[in-house]
Formats: sequence, structure tokens, C-alpha cells
Amino acid sequence: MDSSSYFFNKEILEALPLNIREFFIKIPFNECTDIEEIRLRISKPLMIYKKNKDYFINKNGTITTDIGKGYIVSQDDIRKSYQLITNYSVYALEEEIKNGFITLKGGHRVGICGKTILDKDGIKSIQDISGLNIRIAKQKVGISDHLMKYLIHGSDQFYNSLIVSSPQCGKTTLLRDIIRNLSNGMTNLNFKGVKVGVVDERSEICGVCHGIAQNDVGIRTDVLDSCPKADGVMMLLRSMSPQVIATDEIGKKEDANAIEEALNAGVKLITTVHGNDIEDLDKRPYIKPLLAQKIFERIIVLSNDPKVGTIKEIIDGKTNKVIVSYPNKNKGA
Amino acid sequence: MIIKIVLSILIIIASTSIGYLYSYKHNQHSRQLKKLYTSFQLLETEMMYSSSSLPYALNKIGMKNKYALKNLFVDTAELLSNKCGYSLEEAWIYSINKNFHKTCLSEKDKEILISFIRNLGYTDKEHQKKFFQSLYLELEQQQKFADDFYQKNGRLYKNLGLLTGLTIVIVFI
Repeated sequence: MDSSSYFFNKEILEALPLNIREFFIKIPFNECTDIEEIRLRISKPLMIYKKNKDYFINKNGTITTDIGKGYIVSQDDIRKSYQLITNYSVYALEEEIKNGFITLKGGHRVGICGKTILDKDGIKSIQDISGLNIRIAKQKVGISDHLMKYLIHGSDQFYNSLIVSSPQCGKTTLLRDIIRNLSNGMTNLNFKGVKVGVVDERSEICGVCHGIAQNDVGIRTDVLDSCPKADGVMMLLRSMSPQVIATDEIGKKEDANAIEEALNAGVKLITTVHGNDIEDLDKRPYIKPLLAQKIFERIIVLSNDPKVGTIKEIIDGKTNKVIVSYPNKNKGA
Repeated sequence: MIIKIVLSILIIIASTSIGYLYSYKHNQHSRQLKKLYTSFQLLETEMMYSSSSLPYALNKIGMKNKYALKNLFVDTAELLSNKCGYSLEEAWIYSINKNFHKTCLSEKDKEILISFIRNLGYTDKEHQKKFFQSLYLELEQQQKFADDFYQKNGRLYKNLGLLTGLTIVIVFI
């Protein structure tokens, strides 16, 4: 395997214009396994992002740190790439474009930058596309296996859980794997598996493309894609009889109300919130009351030290005692 | 003598046929413009109300047409569906170069079609509607020209063919 085409799956290569596609096909396999992002900006060098560093790609498909050797992305490259990403049908993806990204098959997300067009309801569209950021999805199956024993009890019981971390620490990746384990069940822990309803407001958890979840989120999982969290939780409660509801990044008043509603209906909950640690959450006006009520029985704190996805500690939300901590151990990634 | 009569009849039939063919071509020009107009209306409906992807919509519209007009849409749809890295404009021009000479459309029609495709699918629905409206105006104008031309010259070409045949027979035979 000397070609990167084995690494870059079809969906990513098909999002790139032919000339740029050829550069990536030439990259040796072992050099592209860690690529997280491909960035195209008009009149700027073609860049990739891997291991927290920027690199440039030249015409020979070589990864370089020399800015002068990077291939300069043209307006035509961006236009072609945008056409390929949208399947030549921008008009059919208006809602996604309003949110600033498009999800490709395989769960890869393409961020879009350009001129925003506003109307009275807010952002209407993005035109004159100037930059695209292809974020390569890599589902990490099994990263939550070792901590599931702290989150479940009995054959089908789950503790209300909250994942706390700063951005880019892997909380959505962890949430996705916990959902998968809850949904599929874990024979080694005698856990049967439960019905999970996911409200995926930003299509990050499941990576739904044309109605199909591109990430493995388990066999008993129902997904409400691109749905506002508060509305989605209520819809799931009414229609799908979930045993666990999962959602990402709560913070607004209506999110907190929906959570309380779900808990009153006897449904368990797992969600995430931005914060460096549990003390940070006291500054969040709508999260603080939830913690004070001791709604969350398990609080998982993540960090990116020494690397993304490191689990710092798991706290018992009722007693505020640390159940387990992982000093400088990389158990999450 | 018999040979002369047979030859005369053949010349008259041939020249009359050429006149009829020329007239038929202009009649077809107008008809194909009407077909194109209807096809683009269907394409607009597919895009605006069904939010179908452009390759799917082009293929669907193509299958409702025949011969060269069908291939114009279907070939473009095929190139786009294969995701070979072509832009829409490139795929459309490739298809036009391959199929246009089999149609009865004019060079001006070709320019209109190429200019329209530049904006197709690349903006939101509101803008797409405007592009379609602009295309309809241009196609209507082209069709009016084609109709007028056929009304004025259709019969003339037919008669001219017959008369040319007769003239050749009278002068040379």
C-alpha cells in the first residue's frame, strides 16, 4: 500500500477537484493516516492539519512545511470542490449551508466560509465561497469500553451522565461511543442494551447523510438529525419511548427545561457541556441549577493533555466524590 | 427518351426533398426549442419543489426527451454522477460538443444554454428561480424568431426545391 487512496476513502477524494485529488493520491499511505483536516482557501497554499500542526501540499503530492512550495488553491478549485461537495445542488442544501457546514457520506464534515447573506430571520445563505475545511471523520470505536462500568448498573440501568471538556478534547467522540455501547449492550458487563434517542442538532454525533447515520451509533438508536435540542427531546419523549436520551452541548435555558422534562418522564440522559472542569460549570447560569439538583449522577471530565480524549476523572454527581481519576494516563483516545 | 424522363423525375424529387428537408429543419428548430422550454420547466420543478439533486434531475428530464435532446441531459447527468471531478459547466460543454450537432438548434441557442448552465445549481432556490426566469425569456425570444422564420420561409423552401428541380430539368434536359 504505497498510495494514500487506500487511506482517503472515496467520499473525501470525490469532494476534491481532479488536480487536487491527484496530489492526495500521490501522498504515501503512512504520511496521511493522521490527517485531520484538509483546508482550501482561495489564493492560499493547500494545507492539511495533522498532529496539531499545519502542513502544505505541493504539486508532487509531498507534504512540506515550506510555505513557498505549497500548491496555491485557485478560485476554480474552490468552485469545483463546492460543486462536488454539494453534488452540484446548493439549492437542495440551504439549511445545512445556513449552519456553515455540509456532512458528506462517511460522516466527514465540510466547513464553508464566504459571504453570508442575511435576511430578517438571520443567515439566509453563504455565497462567494472563499474557503472549505474538510474535517475527516474517524470514529473511535471502543474508547468508552473501559469506563462503561462506571456509567451503568444492573442489566439495563444507566446513570444520568454529563461529559465536561473544553473544545477539541473529544467529548463528541466519547459521547458517540457511549451511545453505541448503550445501544448495542455489553455482554462482558451483562448489560442488555437500551433504546437510545439522539438529538443531533449539528449532525456531529451520528454524521447523518441523506437520512443515514454514517457513524456506528448502535442498533437501538433513533436519531433526530438537525433538530433543536429542546424540541427534539420533547419529540423523542412523545414518539420513540427512549430509555436514554443523548444530546450534545447543552447550555441554553430551553435545553435545561427539556432535560428536566425528560427526567420527569423517567428517561435517563447523557449530554456534554463546555468547561475545563466542574468548577467552570458554576459560571453557567442554566447548568448550575442542574448540578445543584444533583441531576447528573456521573460527570466525566476530559482534557487534551497529554492528548485529545484523555479522561481526567469521573465524578459521582450526587456526592461530588471522584470515583476514578486517570493522572497522565491516556485512556480515552 | 425514357432515360430523360426518369432522370428528370429523379432530379425533381431530389431537389423537392432538399427543399422539404430544409423547411423541416426549421420546423424542428422551433419544436426543439419548445421541448427545451418544457424540459427546463420540469427541471425547475424538480429542483425547487422536490429538491432533487442536479444529476438526478437532469437524468430524469433527459429520459423524458428523445434522441439528441435526451443525450444532452443524460450525458451531463452521467458525468456528474460519476464524480470524476468535472465542474457542471465542463460536463455540460462536453455533452453539448458531443450531441449538439445532432439537434436542429442554432449557435445562438447554444450560447444561451452554456451561459445558463454557469449558474445552475450553484446558488439558493430564490436565485435559481431568477436564472430560470431569465432563461425562459431568452428561449421565448428564440422560439419567436424560429416561428417567424418558419412562417416566412418554410413554404418558400419547399417551393424553391421544386422550382429548382424544374429549372434544372428545363435548362439541362
